Amino acid sequence: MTASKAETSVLQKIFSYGVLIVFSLVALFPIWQVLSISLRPGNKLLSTELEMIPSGASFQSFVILFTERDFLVWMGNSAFVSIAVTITGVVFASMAGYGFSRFRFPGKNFGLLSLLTTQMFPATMLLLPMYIMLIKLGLINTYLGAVIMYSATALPFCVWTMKGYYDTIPTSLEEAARIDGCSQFEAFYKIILPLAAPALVITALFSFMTAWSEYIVAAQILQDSALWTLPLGLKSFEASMSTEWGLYGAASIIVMIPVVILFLALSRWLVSGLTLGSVKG
Amino acid sequence: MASVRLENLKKTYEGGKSVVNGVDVTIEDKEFVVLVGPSGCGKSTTLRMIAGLEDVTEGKVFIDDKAVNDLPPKDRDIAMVFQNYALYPHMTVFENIAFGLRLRGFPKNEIEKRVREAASILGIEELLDRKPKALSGGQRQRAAIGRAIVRKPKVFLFDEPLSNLDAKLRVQMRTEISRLHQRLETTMIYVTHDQTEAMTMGDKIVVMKDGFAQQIAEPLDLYNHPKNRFVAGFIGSPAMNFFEGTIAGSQNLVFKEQQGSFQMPVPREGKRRLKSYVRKKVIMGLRPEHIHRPGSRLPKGAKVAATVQVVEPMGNEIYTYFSLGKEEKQYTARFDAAVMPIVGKRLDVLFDTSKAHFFNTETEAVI
Ligand SMILES: Nc1ncnc2c1ncn2[C@@H]1O[C@H](COP(=O)(O)OP(=O)(O)O)[C@@H](O)[C@H]1O
Ligand SMILES: [Mg+2]
Repeated sequence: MTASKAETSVLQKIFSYGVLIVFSLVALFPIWQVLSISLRPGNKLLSTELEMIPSGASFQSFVILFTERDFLVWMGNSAFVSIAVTITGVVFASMAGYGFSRFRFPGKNFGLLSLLTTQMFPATMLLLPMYIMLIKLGLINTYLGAVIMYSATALPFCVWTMKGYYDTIPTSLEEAARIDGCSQFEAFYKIILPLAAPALVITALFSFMTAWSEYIVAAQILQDSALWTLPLGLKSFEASMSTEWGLYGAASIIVMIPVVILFLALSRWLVSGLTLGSVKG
Repeated sequence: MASVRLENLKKTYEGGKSVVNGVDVTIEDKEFVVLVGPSGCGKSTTLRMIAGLEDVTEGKVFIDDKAVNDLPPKDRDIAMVFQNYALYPHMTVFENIAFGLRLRGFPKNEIEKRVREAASILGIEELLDRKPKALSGGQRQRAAIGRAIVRKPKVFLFDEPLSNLDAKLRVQMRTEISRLHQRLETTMIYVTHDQTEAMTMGDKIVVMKDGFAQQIAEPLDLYNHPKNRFVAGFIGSPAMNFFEGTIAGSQNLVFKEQQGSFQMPVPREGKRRLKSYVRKKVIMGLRPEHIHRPGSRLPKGAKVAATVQVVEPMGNEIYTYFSLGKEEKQYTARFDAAVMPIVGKRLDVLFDTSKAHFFNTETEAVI
């Protein structure tokens, strides 16, 4: 009995590790491909050899990226827009989610459902109406336009995430804080907000990612090349005759890095369970 | 240094659910008052209105003769201990206890001094650096009490603070809170559904049901002179026995049990009050300890033929559950532990008629 149990668990392990390894390979292959392209010397760009490190590998593409192209400008633009969207997302979602979680008011359920409904339409479908709206507001070719668009896309998910997390925090914590000397708002930001850190991190990451590598919306709003974000800049490597694949690859690798760093740095906060032990248990 | 007065206090939740229906209570300075009643009777809602956590629908809450209806909780100078402790999980015990003082801008050394003092009263000095999740239930409750006493508030509010503890710890914390009350000499309002807690801790008890205060009295007064059938049945464990029947006779009144299982003389003290109930239905209440073994020497005993159904030896006494005649209903008696009654056997128990309570069948008020 116990032996067979142990056996199945070993088999299970082998199976689950096998599946995980296969999926990791599937996920990693394109990245390795891009890395390898970025390192290839100009004359071997279209080679189909499966070399890990191509012969004659060089960082030439990376150097060109930073010295001969506006890569740093695009990066700055992307960072600016993404951080603005992140701040907007965190500030609005943390407060809106709290309202939805804690208060009763007319239109609460309708509001929550509407937020959910917006998630059912693909962004491309909303592109035209949004574009017209932004023209009327005079926000084409402005960062504000882009930030509004991205925030509008990211907020519904973020508000739901925050609301869901607040729902798990006992209201007696705020009540204790209000008796201890907090106003309702102080109780929110001194007690509840720190406890909602895991949800805040998800909100921040999601908002950041919404803007960081987005192309379609950016292409409509940020037409002036001085305003280009990274995806628009990368697209410019695609000339009518030839595409600079080496630069493209190098840029893609660099675009990836901040996101990976963010995930690693924040992963500790993604582990929830911070409220354990506050109440009965 | 504070009295609390509730004046015709009412609460209706959104959706029209009326939960507190007009409570009038005066709680004197330094008094320990217990609000007790079955779950859902509006105890917590009442307490939360005193705390300011819940809006008052109608009526007034006075603290020290000042109406506080419109004051936020932080300005009422109260402290509250919650059933689920409600410790801030991201702070250490020290920070939890110090939180209120910090918010109120106390100087650092004063905070340090007060927190240590509170911790030593509660015996949690070694736990000050721990986070709540590293504490046991009892330790958490002590930390929560520490957070309450450190501010030296005018009034302490407790909402079922012992309900999450195991039975032994509950008894221990009960005496600790009573001792704390003697030591701090502050007004305390304590909510519980447990009549034992109410009886052992309260200077005064408010028995609540359906949003009404049924009776407000000292523990023994409540026990000996319940105002209605609900209070009589709620206070005391095991609960009082109730028998339905009619009053008969003219000179000497007797109580006749409905099914004819027994009849017993009405004690002389009750005659005047029961006279108008002749040939009418009443409910007679008798506590388990006022039902005795056959042969007990009682000045006024009525012999009643019973059948023993279940016996529960408690060590010092025996709870004996018995039925009358062909009735299904079971009644309880508390016998001394001398001889174990035999299950299924007939037993002539003695009702101490001088201890009987009579209630109006319709209003359930005591007669
Ligand atoms: N926020 C609320 N909204 C609606 N009904 C409530 C709310 N809080 C409590 N109640 C209802 O009010 C009644 C009394 O609750 P409560 O005061 O907590 O009772 P107790 O503490 O005596 O068990 C219960 O029936 C409960 O369901
Ligand atoms: Mg309650």
